[in-house]
Amino acid sequence: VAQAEQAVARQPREAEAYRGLAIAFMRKQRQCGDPAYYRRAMAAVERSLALEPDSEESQKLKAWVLAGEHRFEEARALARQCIARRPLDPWSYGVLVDAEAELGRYPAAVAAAQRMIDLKPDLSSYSRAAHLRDLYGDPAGALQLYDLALDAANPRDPESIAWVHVQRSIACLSLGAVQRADAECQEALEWQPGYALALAGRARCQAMLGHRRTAIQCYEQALSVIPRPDWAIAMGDLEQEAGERAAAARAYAVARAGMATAGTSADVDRLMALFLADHGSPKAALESARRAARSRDDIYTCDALAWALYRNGRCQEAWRASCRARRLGTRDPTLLRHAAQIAARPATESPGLTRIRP
Amino acid sequence: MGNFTISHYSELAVAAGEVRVQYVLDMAEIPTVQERQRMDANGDGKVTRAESDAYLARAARTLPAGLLLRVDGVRTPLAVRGTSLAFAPGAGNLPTLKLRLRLAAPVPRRPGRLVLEYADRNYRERTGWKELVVTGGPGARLVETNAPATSLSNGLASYPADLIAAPPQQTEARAVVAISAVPSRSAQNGPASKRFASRFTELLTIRQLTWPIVLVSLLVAFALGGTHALEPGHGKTVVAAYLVGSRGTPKHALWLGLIVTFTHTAGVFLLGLVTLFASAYVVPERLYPWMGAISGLAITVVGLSLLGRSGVQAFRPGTREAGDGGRGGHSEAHFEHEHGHWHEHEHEHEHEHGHSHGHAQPHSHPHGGGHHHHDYEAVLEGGGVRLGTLVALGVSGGIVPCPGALVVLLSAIALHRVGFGLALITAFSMGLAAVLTGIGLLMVSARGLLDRVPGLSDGHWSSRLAMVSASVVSLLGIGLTLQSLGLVG
Repeated sequence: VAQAEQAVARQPREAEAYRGLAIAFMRKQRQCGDPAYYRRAMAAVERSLALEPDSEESQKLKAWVLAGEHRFEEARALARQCIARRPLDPWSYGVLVDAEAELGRYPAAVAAAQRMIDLKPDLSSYSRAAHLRDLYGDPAGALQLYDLALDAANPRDPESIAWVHVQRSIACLSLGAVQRADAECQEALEWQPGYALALAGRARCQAMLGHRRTAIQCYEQALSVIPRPDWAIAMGDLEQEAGERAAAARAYAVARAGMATAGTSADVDRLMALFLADHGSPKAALESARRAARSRDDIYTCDALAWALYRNGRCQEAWRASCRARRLGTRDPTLLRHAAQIAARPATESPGLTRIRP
Repeated sequence: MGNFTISHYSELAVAAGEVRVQYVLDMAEIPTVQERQRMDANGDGKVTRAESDAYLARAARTLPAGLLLRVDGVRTPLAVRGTSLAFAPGAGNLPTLKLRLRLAAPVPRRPGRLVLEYADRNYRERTGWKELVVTGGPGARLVETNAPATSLSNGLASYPADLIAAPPQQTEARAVVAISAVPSRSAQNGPASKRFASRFTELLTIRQLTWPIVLVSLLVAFALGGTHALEPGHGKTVVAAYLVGSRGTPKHALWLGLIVTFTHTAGVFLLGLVTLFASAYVVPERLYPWMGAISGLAITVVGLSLLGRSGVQAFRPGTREAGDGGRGGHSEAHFEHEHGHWHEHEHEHEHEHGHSHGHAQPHSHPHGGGHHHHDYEAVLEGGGVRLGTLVALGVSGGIVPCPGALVVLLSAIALHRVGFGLALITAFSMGLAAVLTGIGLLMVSARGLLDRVPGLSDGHWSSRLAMVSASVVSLLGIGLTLQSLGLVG
């Protein structure tokens, strides 16, 4: 960032300098997790576009920042424009893969990822394709692609390597290999000490292994770097299980604060739906889930909708939404746990019974 | 800044003998929720005053451990001098937290070079605005440093709106400081300043402002203003008061007091505001030494010219019968007229004095002071006191900041306590006006009494008082100039 700022100071009329600054802000965001850096990156991109309104370089950076801000529709549209102008530039395919997948248009995401690998087989194309394989219920195939991603990694970029290891850990969980998933997170932490994503990943593994205290400690460490509400909720749930009601309430308060100050977005709605469904407000949970589902049709939004419906006793609709959440055959433990609970709904609930009759 | 940032600010002010650190932590909504959970000892979801005080006391113990200061390579612990904790509304109806610590550590006083190294290790893993500022102070000049001299965020009070500018990430600084042999006279450096400061200005140099001290200071300023009204410098206004007394009503006397207070305070405030605005456009750290030097010189000149006048006056037998009217002109004359005219004013006022007793004499004075004369005449000729005339009298008596108030203002600027200085001046002006009004009221009820009050009519007494006050002002001016030049150099 400092170098990019110096470049801007030297050449305040050069769009290239502002593009460099935008990239630096995006890297900084990935490092510290502060979404405020997306706003800064966007400001830098807009400045470069003001200087060179038609610049393809600036447009594709803007698509990237839009995806970072989770404005997926806009990111998708702009990425497609960029691809139309420069069909051989792999960059915009990466943005397109992310946007299509987050919006729930998985076949389009797969096509874009395939094109990206064909153009440039590197860490970012392999890891995107691997993630899609994992979603499509092929975690073993995903791990193979993650191996290729690691082979293509630049050893001087430990953050990217650590990130791939965290992704591998997620695929391992789909495989049911919890110990291995935990080891992947530890390896990520060796590459990048204190890496919050790896700490949170490890916490999830430790919880699944039944090591509740270790899991809580890992969440605490992760939250001290980035207090992400989803992690705070997971930690609160563990404290609740341990009977530590006060500690659980504290964790949930942090989660609420995070969601209350994150602005309005489908991500917040999705998370809010899951949280409220389990913590006393199923009605509000369903409202949030429906809001999220209006703008996105990805499997995790479908899962949140299914869970909110289930908690409202609407088991038939819940089952349908849950099926939609598992339409790719994803073997994510959370999706499967929700589906199992919805399927094994209490027999007293009439909406569930009606599902069996026809 | 994002919703989970913890922003840091450290301002190091190096002076001969001491380095002071202003430390500010600004926590966004999420960390504030977390910290409030730590404060909430009984877990009732509310944070009481006692709980937040206990938290602040804990923070005052733990945070300094994360602030590493090395002086010439030697680890030097920072002692906490003051703490504060405040909440401000943030996004999502959630509070944000601002924690401040004032810290200090000793550094060698002997002339020479010092190397200071400072690092803030608190909340390192948390993202945020991390700013560090290093400034020189009395007797300590920055030779080189890798930290800026001014804050981009005004000490985390306002973050720049320009998103392009990346948040600073400075948590470590190094500075080479030249300690000079300039004797420390500043407020920060203690008792030496008492040699120079008048009682009034001393109020400004109190180390820590607590409410009782502020109240006592304001009372003292009020009292000093009152006695100041009896010193040379407001004779003209005393004449006006006297005239009101001889011709006016209690209402006129009150009006006069109000007008004098207002114009006197306004005049000094205007000067103060100009300085404050100037400091918004010029880096204050650069402005203050020069302002201080210029102020010091101005005070010296004022003091010396006063000394000159009072000295001559003390040895002029003719002035002994001049009375308050006679004393009035010269202390103010230096602001309006050439030095050499003082004795002509004297005569003029003597005439006026005479007029007020009804002894009409021919008067034609070619110099600029004549209009006062006519003001007074108008009062007389009207056969009473018109409000317009009263305003003119009050304004002319109050508009020119008297040396005392000017000294306080300029000292306040030099000592970086402009706000407190202005409050003192208000109290001072009110004291001044109270006495003038009192005299006016006294005159209304007992006309002619003024002549019989020995303290007011004795020329010798007042001349000596004038000399003492002029000497104090001159010395103070020289002191301030020297100190400021020490900063500049």
